[in-house]
Amino acid sequence: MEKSTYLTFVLAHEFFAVNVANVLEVLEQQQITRVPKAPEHIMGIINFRGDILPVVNTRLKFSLGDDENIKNYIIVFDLTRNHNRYPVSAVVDGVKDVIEINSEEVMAVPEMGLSFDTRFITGVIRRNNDFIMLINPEKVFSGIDTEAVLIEDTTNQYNLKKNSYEIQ
Amino acid sequence: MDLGHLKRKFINEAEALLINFDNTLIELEKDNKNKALISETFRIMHTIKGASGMFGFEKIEEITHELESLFDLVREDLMEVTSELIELSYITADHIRSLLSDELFENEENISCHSALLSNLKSFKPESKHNYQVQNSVKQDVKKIASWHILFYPNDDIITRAINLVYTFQDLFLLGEYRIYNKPYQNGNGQFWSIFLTTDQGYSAIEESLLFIMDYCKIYQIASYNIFDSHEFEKFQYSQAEERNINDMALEIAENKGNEPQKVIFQPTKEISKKTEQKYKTDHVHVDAAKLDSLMFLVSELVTTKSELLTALNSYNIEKALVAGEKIEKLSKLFNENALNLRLVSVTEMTEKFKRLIRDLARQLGKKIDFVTIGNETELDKSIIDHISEPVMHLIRNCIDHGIEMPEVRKTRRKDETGVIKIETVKSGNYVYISISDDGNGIDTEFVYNKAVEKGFINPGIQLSEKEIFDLIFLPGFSTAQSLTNVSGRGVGMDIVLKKIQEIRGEISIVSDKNSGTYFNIKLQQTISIIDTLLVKACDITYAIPLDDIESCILEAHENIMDKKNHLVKVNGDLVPFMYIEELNGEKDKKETDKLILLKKHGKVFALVVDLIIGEYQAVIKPIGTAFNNVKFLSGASLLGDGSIALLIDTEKLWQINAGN
Repeated sequence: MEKSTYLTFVLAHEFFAVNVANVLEVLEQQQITRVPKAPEHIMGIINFRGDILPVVNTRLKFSLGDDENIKNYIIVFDLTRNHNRYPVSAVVDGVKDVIEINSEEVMAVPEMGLSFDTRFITGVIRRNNDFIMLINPEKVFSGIDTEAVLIEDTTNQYNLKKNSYEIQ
Repeated sequence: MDLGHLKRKFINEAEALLINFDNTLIELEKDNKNKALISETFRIMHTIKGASGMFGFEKIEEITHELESLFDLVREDLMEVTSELIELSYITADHIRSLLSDELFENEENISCHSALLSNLKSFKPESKHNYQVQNSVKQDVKKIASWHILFYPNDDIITRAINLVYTFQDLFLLGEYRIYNKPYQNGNGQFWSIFLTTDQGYSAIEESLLFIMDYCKIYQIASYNIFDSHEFEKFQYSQAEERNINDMALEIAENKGNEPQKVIFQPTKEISKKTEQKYKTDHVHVDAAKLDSLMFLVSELVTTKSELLTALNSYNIEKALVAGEKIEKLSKLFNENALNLRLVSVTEMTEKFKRLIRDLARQLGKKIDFVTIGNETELDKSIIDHISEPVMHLIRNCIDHGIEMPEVRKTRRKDETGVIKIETVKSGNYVYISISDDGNGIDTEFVYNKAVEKGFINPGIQLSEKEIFDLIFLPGFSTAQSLTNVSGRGVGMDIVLKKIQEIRGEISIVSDKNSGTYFNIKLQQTISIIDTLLVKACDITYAIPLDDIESCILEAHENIMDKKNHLVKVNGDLVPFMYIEELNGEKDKKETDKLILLKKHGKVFALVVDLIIGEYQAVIKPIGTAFNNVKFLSGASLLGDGSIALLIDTEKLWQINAGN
């Protein structure tokens, strides 16, 4: 039986959970600097330990509808892609607690009947009459950098291989 | 003990040595009798050979050994430097490069190449001299030859003390014939190397060569003759193959010889993590000792000022405290400058790499080319050098491929058969100018124009200045090469060169004369991480604008000089276009208290309207991440003293937006 530790949080009265291995820190009421013309789901940037991080509006990302009146918490995720670490921060309505989840508990995602985007949900568990959706932050937030990845790809075509001047 | 760290250091070092090797060969091509150059090639091969043995790159050791022996023959005047030998050396250098990234020797191509190259090198030795044994450059005098066993068991200290093993062991290996075992060997007691050496130099010479790492070495004399000649050596090897504890073995040997047995204490084992073996990026900077000296001077200054401040505070002497405070402010500025200075490296780091490329390309295309560099000592931020190496290389490829003509053509044009590619670097103020030029074809404006029309970039009949025509070359998908060659002209290129240079707030322009040559002029900031800015506020967002691009600020009420309909403002009698930051923001909320900031870019003046001017600020620029790639007019952000964030305005992009209107 495999046990993992998860952090649970609330978004529009729904419960979500994310593996603590992917969480760097939870910030409360951080000042968010707006960035003009930023994509809609990016709220702005924050100063996190001297680095500048984009802040994702998780409600919009999950198609849950925006609500500016809710007191916000920011979860800073520690993600990796292609062996590179990149932190991303995301705003949630509230942070609940840290729970242990057994791998047997996890059920498949119901195909219908959910009011939000289910692409990012990896599984569902049940606790005290509540459903908690497990999410994979790497899937959720990979879209943010898609553009960057595309740009890198075109550069690679041009980045002539280091040894390309070998004698033929 | 992180072995990966040492290994990466070796790879770094080896790559630098190979560049050196390439360039020495280029010199040698011109002057094949030059003794100094010949010994240099020998020395480089020897260094790489020794170090690759140390770090378990056996295949490199094997191949360098062969090439080293060839150059040794040359050194002994038993062979001559022929163009074949040089060609072979180039191939070997390239092969070593690919072996460096293929430590486990798994790449099929490398394997086949290796054996072919090895037999090639072996057959290269002149037949008649076949009996000549190359013994690592040491004349085997029958003096007091003795065999030594050196155990080297490094720990993490060696990394913190920044000892360069590559060179340390080179000194040792120059003493005589050596064999390295346990590359690196790991048993219960830790990692260590076991080195057998025969030399006539005696203990003190060995000690001297290992001076810096004596703490990590044990040296035993194991025989008073050359053990490599005897069968005994195989015995040593044999015992090792049985995975016997080398420690005991060494002690045993020592005991046998009647020496005082010493207890060798090894560091506790740490697992070598696989991860550290992964490929990584070079991130070392070579720093002048003088720069470090001035840093040390500043540190001592800071320490005294600090105690001055403390004494003043203890005695409630505000005046003295203020003086000390001011001193500290001055010092912190100096520290800032000094730290930036440490990151500066000379452009040689970049230009040295080009020599080989130019030589190879010229040969491939049958052209004759001289490479000239001027102002090599100019210094640039290391990260900028890394950033522009590729684009500059691309420009050079263009010069060679499209610029320089074939020798026959040059003759008919009454030019010297040999074309010249020149890189000139000049520092002026905070900027560094790099110009890459050739004395070849030059750019045919008519041809470029027609091509642009044909590709639909411009409408036929439109009037363009020469500069505007040259700028067409930077458009994506514009390639004037009539036939795609191996060298350049894949249709991607110049637009990426432009993009790369603009990424670090640089500028590039072209000057060209048909039939007499082309200049690519690049203007760069010497460092990119810290710039002087003006802080302004608009719509409750703080922005930083590079001070260099600001002409002036207009604080007076300007309602009367502003023509809002046409977005023009009258400044000193001239009409200047203006824009609101809010407009960029997508909002429009004009106030009477607006301030005007006049910006000048590419000789054109335009104005930006903001709510509030805060003041000058030295901004440490941080990237804002790829999430904002579509926000074109921002190039970064900076943290302010109170922890809040200011967005850095990209004046270049602003200019483009303005020009687009």
